Amino acid sequence: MRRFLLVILILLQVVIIWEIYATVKDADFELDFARIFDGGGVVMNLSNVKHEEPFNQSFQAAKQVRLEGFVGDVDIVYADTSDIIFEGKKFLSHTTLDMEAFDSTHIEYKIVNGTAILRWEKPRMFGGTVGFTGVVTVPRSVERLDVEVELGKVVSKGGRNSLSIRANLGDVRVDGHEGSVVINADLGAVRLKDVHPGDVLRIDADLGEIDYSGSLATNTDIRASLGSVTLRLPEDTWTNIDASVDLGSLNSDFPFTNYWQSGSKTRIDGVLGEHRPHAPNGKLTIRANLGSVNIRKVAMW
Amino acid sequence: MNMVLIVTMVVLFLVVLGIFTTYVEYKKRKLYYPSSVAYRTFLARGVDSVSVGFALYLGLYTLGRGLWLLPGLITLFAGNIYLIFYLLGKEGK
Repeated sequence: MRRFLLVILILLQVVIIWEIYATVKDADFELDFARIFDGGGVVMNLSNVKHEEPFNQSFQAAKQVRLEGFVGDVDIVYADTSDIIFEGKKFLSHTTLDMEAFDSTHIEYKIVNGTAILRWEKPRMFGGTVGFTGVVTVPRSVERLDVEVELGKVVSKGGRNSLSIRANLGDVRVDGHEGSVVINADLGAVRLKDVHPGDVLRIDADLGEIDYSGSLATNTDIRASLGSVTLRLPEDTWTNIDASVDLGSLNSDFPFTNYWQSGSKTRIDGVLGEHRPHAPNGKLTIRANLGSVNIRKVAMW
Repeated sequence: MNMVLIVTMVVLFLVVLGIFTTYVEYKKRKLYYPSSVAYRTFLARGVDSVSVGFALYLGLYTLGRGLWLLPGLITLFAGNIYLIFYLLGKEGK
């Protein structure tokens, strides 16, 4: 009886080992440690592409546009058009080629209260990924654009609207934007260049670094949990500042007031910039848990 | 680095560590108690781990197949090793 039980248990052990192997293999992603330790990059990648097809579709835009649940690298550009145009590739990333899952994935389009909502509808109970990689052309007339990308990089160039980006597992890059910017990034790095926000600039990065170049908004709020924060600001910057770093350095090319340090925590709660006769209007809030904060003075025009 | 390779290495490491610590625990217990009592510890731990692992596996399986099944599978794996040790030890008596 014991021998019989022993054989059963050994067989069960083999089944468990096989199940562990199959579960991990089905997950179909690779860890890229080099990029993780390089300052926070894309942790998962979409390298295991089994099938891809050209994907071109356009939808009627509205004053407000929301892209939800997208997977893949998305480049947002602006043009004089009335449609939202998708041009790129639809791909399937999985260990097996599941054409039913591929074909059933589509963009769900609806307009709710003047907002055009485009949702990337993925198959349920599917171990792999079906995504879109390519260019999304948005009309210049769009006043507000919300983008949510679950896995992949988001790049926006030359926007003149209120932009909100949520990226779960990829980098975010915004170039030459004029208008409010709100960015939430869980794992990727956030890089903004030549940005001139209006009233609001809010950047929240959990693991990646934040590299910002441009002028400040009336209310600027920058939060980083693990990565470092680098701000490149114009020479004439003059703002109230409330910056605190739990474990890391806080360096500034600009003069500032009310600097204090308590244990490993560093804080500035005063004014940043060359002294002027009038009080500053805007407010810059910075919170960093582990990374350093560097505020650089750069020439801008 | 490939995920399959990483998990294989981690599982192998845990198995070797588990076998080693279990053996050390067994030797220690044998100093104070008879062998049968020491073996019964394996049985208790094995049944505990298998029950918890199976419950976790079943519960998490409701979410479908995915990496979230690993906690249940690995606990089952560890519990099963304890049970095999118990039976092997009894077998040698």
